[in-house]
Amino acid sequence: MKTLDQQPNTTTANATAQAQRARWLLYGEIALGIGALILMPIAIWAALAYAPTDAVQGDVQRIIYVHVPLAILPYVAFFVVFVASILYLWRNDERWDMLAHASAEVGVVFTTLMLIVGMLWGQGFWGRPWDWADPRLTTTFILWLIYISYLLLRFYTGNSERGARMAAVLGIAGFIDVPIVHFSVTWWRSIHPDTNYLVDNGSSALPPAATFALLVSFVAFTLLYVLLTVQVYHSLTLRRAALRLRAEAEDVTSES
Amino acid sequence: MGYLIAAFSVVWVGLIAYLGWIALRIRGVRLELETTRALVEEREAANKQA
Repeated sequence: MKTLDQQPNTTTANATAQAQRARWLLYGEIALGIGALILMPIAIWAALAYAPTDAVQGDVQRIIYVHVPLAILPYVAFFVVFVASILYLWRNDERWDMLAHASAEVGVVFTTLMLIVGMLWGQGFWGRPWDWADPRLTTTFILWLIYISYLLLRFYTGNSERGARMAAVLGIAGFIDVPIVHFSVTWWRSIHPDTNYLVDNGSSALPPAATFALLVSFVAFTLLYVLLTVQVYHSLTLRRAALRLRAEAEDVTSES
Repeated sequence: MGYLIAAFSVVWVGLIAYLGWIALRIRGVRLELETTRALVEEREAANKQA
């Protein structure tokens, strides 16, 4: 089976160009890291101290300031997987494949944290962490399983081109569940709060301090998503450069 | 209040741990890259001498 690391354009010049790209990625990571470091304490302060206490739910409602960004950003992450997978199949450029892989990994981490945090909120407010009859919870769990399968497929197929193509197909097909998750609360009867809890007639349904806390948290988590995706992408580019160089070392050995 | 503290702890410990794990992955791969690059250069030099 032909692997990506065995493609013919394996030269030391390519490795140098990749090292230069990696340097620019590093600068981007530093800028994103500084931005996230500044915003994160503000987001925590706004969520725990600045936003008012909810009259019905009490302090447990403050969980939404992390739960909502962690619920929205996987939509973005899996949309990036969807688009990058289409572009990979169309252009056959491995950079799209690596972007899809990186975004899927970060999306799964965010979805996992969102599910845990949601269960803690459910236990605190509903008195139970999970309800299998609820469409939002069940479709989100299915979404998590789809992208866990995507990552397992990537893990077991290594750097093979066939594995990358199979993962791209799964990345495209798996995105079907995203709109189902989003609209599940309006399509079916659900105990999960719908978007009217946050937005009413195009404006925020929350008090101004709560809106501020949610927005700051959303921006901070978005920076973290980009930072993490760039870091995972960086690690994947370095890994492929190492595999190419190893193949080149084997070629040099066989020539001698 | 306990659920709130647990939720924030899970998120921040989880994200920091994940960030640290990625940094370790990058360091490991970078080390592998440097070792392999040195090996390629060494073998190319040996081939030229031969």
